[in-house]
Amino acid sequence: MVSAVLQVRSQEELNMGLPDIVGVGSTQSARSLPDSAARLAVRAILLALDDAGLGKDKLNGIITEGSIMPSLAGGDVLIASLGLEPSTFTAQIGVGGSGTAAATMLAGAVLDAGLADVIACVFVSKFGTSPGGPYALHAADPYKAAFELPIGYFPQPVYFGALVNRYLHEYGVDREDLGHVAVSTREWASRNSKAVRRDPLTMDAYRASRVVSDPLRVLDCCLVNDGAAAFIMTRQDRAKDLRQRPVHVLGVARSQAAYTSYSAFSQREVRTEAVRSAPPAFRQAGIANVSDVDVVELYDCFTITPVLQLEDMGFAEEGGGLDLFATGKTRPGGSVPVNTDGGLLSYSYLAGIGHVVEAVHQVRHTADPDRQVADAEVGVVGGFTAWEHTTLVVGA
Amino acid sequence: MISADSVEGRLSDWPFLPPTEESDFGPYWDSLRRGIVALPRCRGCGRFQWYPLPCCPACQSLDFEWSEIGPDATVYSFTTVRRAFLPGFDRVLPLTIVILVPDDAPHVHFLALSDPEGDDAVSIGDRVRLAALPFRNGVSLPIARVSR
Repeated sequence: MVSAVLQVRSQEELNMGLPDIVGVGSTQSARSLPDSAARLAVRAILLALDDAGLGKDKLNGIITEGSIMPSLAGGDVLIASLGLEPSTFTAQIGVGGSGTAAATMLAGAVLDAGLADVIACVFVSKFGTSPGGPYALHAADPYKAAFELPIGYFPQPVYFGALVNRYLHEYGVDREDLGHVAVSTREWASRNSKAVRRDPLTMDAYRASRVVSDPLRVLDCCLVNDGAAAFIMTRQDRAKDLRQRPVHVLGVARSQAAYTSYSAFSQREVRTEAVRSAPPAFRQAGIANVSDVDVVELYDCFTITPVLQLEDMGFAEEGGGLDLFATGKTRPGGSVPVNTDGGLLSYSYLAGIGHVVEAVHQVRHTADPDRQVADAEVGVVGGFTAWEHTTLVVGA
Repeated sequence: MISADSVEGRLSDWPFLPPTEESDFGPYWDSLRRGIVALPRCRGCGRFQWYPLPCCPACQSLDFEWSEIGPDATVYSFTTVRRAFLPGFDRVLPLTIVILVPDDAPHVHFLALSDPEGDDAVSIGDRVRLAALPFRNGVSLPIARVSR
């Protein structure tokens, strides 16, 4: 069967430690920023170190996702720019938003082994201004170049249009209901001083927005912009005396479909690998019921993506994810707050690291007061990348 | 919209040229030029594999042959592209692309154009027939026609 997966083992089963996140930092986000990718990455790391109250001389590890960052701001560039020790540990794991969330998993092992004491994870988006934007990476994929571009099945909004059509068909959902995801997310973004789009969004405006690839409208698609963010990890026993209340990584697990590309997808395409990454992460974190979770930060490249993850993680039945948005449960004051910074749809196309940073802010209570969820203690991050998914659980 | 050329009885120029040089994927485009659809089939266990992989995920055989698949298929999903993301595609919009499950390869998802000269909107679950159709500039693409 095509959808066979690698067995997911949580770090608890592997008997490894999990890191604390002790600092976070985000640059401004905007359609176009003059800084180079490397300069944005450095800014984000310095902001995160400052948040942690750590000097750059303490930083001796850098872990990033592995598909985009190495060419934008690799370990060598960051070591040279920040003047770090040549022995600084560097590594990459996973792809995009899944890799950034999974960086916590690798950091746990690296810190446990004593290969580093303080590790930064950073991601920079130059999708707003780089040639080809977010489509270039996909155009370079050999399967897409050989079989998909020639027929016009390109880029992301086209594949997700087909995916959404199948979802609507399987679950008998009204396509207009996707607009509730855009509206809910914008409402959160209006409370985030750094969000690229803070202007109010109504269902009428959603319905009036242009169709890009049926049934997806422009407002089903995330932003395309520049920006960067970083977070700092260290061992729990070293985290206590730093500037911020440490945030514990309570559970993390990653799953990769054995082989699916975006379109030669398996029969299970309308599900994400969160089906397999969430259960071990939740077990490890001691989450018996999703009602134990206070905030949910889910990769939202399109409106459908957080819907699928809510279902795959158990926050809703299959086909029931949109109801959480339509009934207001995901909005400020709701019982399942989703993407409390405005996500990729309305805050910034930070490709997943923004979701980690926001979960940290929420559980240590340092989000902008307008969007701080009262008494938030446990946050879940869904890092999605097509064939790969990482579930991360954090708590203060 | 894609239109037929009245003189040659062929579809107008297709805006994107597929790879022509020798590659692992060349036989696919060759099969379309010959008017059929061929996919790699494992010589070990007989399973079609799409997209091509280095070895068969079912039996790990490294031995594949490109074999024709039959024309009957079912629509798994589709989308109608309304924005030109690629150069020249403004001429062929709106463009409906379907994802098919061929009867001969029930675990495969296969991309085809919805018949550009068909009048009927395609729906999920529709039975279709697959054909390779040449465009005026020599490009052949897989086309799905709703079965009646």
